[in-house]
Amino acid sequence: MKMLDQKCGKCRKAIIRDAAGALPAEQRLDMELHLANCVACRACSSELRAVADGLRRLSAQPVNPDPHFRSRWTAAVKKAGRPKSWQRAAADLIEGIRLMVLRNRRTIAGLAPAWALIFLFKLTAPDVVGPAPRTVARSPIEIFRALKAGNNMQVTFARMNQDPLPRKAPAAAPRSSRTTTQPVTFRRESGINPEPIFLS
Amino acid sequence: MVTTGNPAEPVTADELLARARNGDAEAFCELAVQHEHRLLQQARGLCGDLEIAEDLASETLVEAWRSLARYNQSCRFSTWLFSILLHRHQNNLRRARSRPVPLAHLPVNEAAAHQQIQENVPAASLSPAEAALRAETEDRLRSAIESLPVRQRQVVLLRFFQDASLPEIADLLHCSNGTVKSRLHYALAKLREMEGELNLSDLRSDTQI
Repeated sequence: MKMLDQKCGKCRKAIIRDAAGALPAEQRLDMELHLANCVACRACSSELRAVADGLRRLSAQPVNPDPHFRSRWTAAVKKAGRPKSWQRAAADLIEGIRLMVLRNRRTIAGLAPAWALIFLFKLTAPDVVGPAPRTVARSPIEIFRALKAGNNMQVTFARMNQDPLPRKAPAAAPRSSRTTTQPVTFRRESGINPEPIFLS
Repeated sequence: MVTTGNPAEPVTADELLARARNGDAEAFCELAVQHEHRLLQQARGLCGDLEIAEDLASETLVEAWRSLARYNQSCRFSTWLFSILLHRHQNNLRRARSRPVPLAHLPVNEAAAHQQIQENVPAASLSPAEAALRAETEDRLRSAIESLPVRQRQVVLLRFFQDASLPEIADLLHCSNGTVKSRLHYALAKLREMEGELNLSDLRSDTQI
């Protein structure tokens, strides 16, 4: 069993920081005083130093590169060329967005549940919208406005000399008159060409 | 300080950098030559194989040349190069994990594996047994580093491979100083737990820096 298993966490944090080379000098003195009297912490410090030394040595092993190594990468650099201005601008833009997301990642992460709830509500909420509004068109401009107003709008055409929405229904209109006053309705669905529907 | 063609005119790294920023590839190469050997050592420390390390270092230098405009001098040039190296190495690892290993790349027997270890160990002063032992220790340490979460691994490698300061690491990784300390703390605590299995004394006793 290792000495570390003997619990003494008194200056464990300081020991780790010391191994990482990030312990201020004033705290190191306290740590060293403690290490002089604590076997467990001394062992911990020794192990951490071994890890830190091992890591440093791993990146400092002597290497004998291929004699053509330098000529290979210099040729690659000269061949690569610099990116064009628009490529640099695009890269800068992407980098800027990435940095913005990185800097605000906590805010984004905090807002994510709220966005998820809103999205869920939108998906599951019942359709409470009433029937589509009706517009009575008296001129092409009004037709245009009506068409522009919404996709699922029902548009009714009527002749200029006729009242499109009579206040009271005609009692017994002659057959010829009925055909002239009968409104023609166009239903415009999204993405579908208008199709005439004759009202009865 | 670097001297170029005319020894009477010493050219500083800053001047080379300024010229390289203006598109002078020769100046960039001259600047990069100063960091080439260290970069290769770091690359070998990361991947363990000298040939792969050479490719990795070359790719890093080409990438550095292409994205030189993004170097804002908030850290040392060598630290910036190492951050590119680290990024490329992580990408390579990710790709390698998702790709099946060809049979030809697997050592066919123990002798072949031993030969491979020998090829990767450059120190001529070591006996074959010592060299093999050290290569094994290196591999264990490398595996231990790779077992760390990516963010902790980045901090550990920047700190111990590149000897980057904590503010430099914080700036490169776009996080606070406290976050860097905390990641370093957890990473070292994990590596310490593995220290017994790593048997780092082999690496310590054999290596002369």
